[in-house]
Amino acid sequence: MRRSFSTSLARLTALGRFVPAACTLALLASPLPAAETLAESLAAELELARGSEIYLLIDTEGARLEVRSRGLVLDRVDIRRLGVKAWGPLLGARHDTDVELPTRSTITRGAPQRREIVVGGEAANGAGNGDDTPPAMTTPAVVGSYACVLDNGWLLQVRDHGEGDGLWGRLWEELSDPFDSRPASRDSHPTLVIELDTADTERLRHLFRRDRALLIR
Amino acid sequence: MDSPNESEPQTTATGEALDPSVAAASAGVSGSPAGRPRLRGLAWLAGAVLLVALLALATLDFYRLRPIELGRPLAAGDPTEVERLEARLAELEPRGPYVVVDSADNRLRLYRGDEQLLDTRCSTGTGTVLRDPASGRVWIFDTPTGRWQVRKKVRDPVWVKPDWAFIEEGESPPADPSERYDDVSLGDYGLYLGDGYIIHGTLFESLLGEPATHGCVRLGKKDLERLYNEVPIGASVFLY
Repeated sequence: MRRSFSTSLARLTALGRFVPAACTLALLASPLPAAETLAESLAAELELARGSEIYLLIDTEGARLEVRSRGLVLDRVDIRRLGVKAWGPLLGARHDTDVELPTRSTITRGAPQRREIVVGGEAANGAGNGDDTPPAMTTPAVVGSYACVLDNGWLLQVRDHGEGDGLWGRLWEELSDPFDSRPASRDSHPTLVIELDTADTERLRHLFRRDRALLIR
Repeated sequence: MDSPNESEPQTTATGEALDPSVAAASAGVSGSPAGRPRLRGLAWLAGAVLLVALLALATLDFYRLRPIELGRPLAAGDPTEVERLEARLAELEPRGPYVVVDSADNRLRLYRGDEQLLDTRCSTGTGTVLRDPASGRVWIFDTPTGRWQVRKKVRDPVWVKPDWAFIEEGESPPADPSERYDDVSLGDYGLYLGDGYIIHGTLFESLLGEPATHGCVRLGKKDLERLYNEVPIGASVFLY
């Protein structure tokens, strides 16, 4: 009987291990490709590069987020994970498996920027020419996630690559995250998610502003 | 009721008395004949709960992440077209020296082509918002982004202090323009980018590497001199 119960226990344990593994496998299946050719992407970039603005390029092949202007790469950071959030059952196929990534987008509502507001006369913080003390700007707290709205209706979430690499971490993330960034309705476009290192997430926050162009290649 | 008879010590198969704690542990694993159905029932219940949970996960909709495969090359398309577009992009790149300012890390870099000539600390905008309590006017002290160009270079530049420089100190902007002139604060050289933005020197080199300005780019004395000498008028300055 002891062996019988132990066997049952072992089976339950095995099932307990199988469930998150199966969920993770289901999550990892069917990656979404960037749907276009290099020539089309270069044509879109050329159009942007003729202007004088900074634009952002998500390079899926190189797993990098690049800051560019006039075709020059000014800065680049590694993308830890890239994905699309959309409605679907946790196990099995998603409803909108034919979703295509937007090749070119423009941010219409940027990431919130943390700013110190001072009233004239209360500043005197060294930002001017008065003294040699550091400005009284508060150091921004590291916040791991911010969101933008794109002109094509997509949402863009930039977040740091925190926990979630393990099986249980992934499962927990999938179960808990809907309550963080659920769109208004199921008719909304999916959310493009970029995961960066924590430092990069915060360092590039100021670039995710209104009118910033975003290319995905 | 289901527990072993507590009045008699348990014995092993060889007749040795069993330690009560070992006996209890043993009972917990194998269970008495009366306890077995209960354990079995618990196992079935756990299995049923797990099954229901799995069915719920399989049928309920979640707003969930589907990873995109990274590292997969893009289909090239027409190779001649790719070559042509890459050449046209390359034509847009600056020919001579150019400057790149990273306002997040407060670094200024000078390049000529792919060669990096200088990488040094600077100070850029604090991002602070200044509100004038009298007029309600608001200023945001950001360093702008984008590609700018050096429009003029000036030795011993004079700063014509704008209204916010007075309001920030709790003073009223002067009516007499001569009270706005400041020939000390900008250092020895100024590279003017337009819209009031300047790459200039600073009286407070200890703040280099930190956000400390109203939007201009401050450099140390030696770096500024080098930049002044090596960057021609018309050179590109990329601010991001």
